[in-house]
Amino acid sequence: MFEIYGERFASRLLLGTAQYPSPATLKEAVEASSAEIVTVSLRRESARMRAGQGFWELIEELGVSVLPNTAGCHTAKEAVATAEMARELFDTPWIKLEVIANDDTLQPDLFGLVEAATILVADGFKVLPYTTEDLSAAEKLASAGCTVLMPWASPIGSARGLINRDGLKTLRAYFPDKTLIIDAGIGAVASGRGDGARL
Amino acid sequence: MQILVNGEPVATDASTLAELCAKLGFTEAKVATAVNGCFVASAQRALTPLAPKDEIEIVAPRQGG
Repeated sequence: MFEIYGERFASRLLLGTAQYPSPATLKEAVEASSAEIVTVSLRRESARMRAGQGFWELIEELGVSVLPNTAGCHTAKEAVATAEMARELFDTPWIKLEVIANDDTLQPDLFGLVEAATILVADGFKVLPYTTEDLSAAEKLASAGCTVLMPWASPIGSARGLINRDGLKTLRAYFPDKTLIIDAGIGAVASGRGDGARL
Repeated sequence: MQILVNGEPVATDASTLAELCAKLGFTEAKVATAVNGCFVASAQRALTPLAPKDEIEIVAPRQGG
């Protein structure tokens, strides 16, 4: 079983909801994957377009757990405000915390990440921080109260797979009881799953 | 007065955030709000006054990864 803050799931797969050709394809993908958790985001809503309202109805229809993220945030302050908005919108204390250092690599800003995680945990959030394999950052996130870590495999969208396998193994050795979710750059799902299983 | 809503300049006579949301047609919509970078819960919108140059964010659920 796979556990996130005391909740258990039969599937270890978390499915993103972006870049599907249509809502119907997204729905079919979620159902076919048996994923029990999907990641979602927030965007500015246009009074004319109302794009978010239809998406929300689709998510409710799917009946899966949602993991909102703070994508696009570059400071701890922005990430905290976004997390608070996400908690109200999605009615969940879970937040995939992203604080991005720069727009080229989408590398996590580990300093801002720890700052935001500390604030959010104190406010009752269940934080899933998008981090690197850096052990010192992981220790600080753990001290802040994160029981789940989301280290990257490689930069988002690069599909390079696990570029620092030793670093991820070290994280696992230091945190044998924490849920580690390898989050970015995995590439093909099959290879990512296989690599993850060997850590 | 002039304010910014989702980065766009808007002229409004709304005195509170709730009034602004209503004028923009968001009363029943699934949205969350922030004023000048700070989250404002839906229950607090009617108690949140607006001032010239305020920066308002109105966000909704969207696809993401």
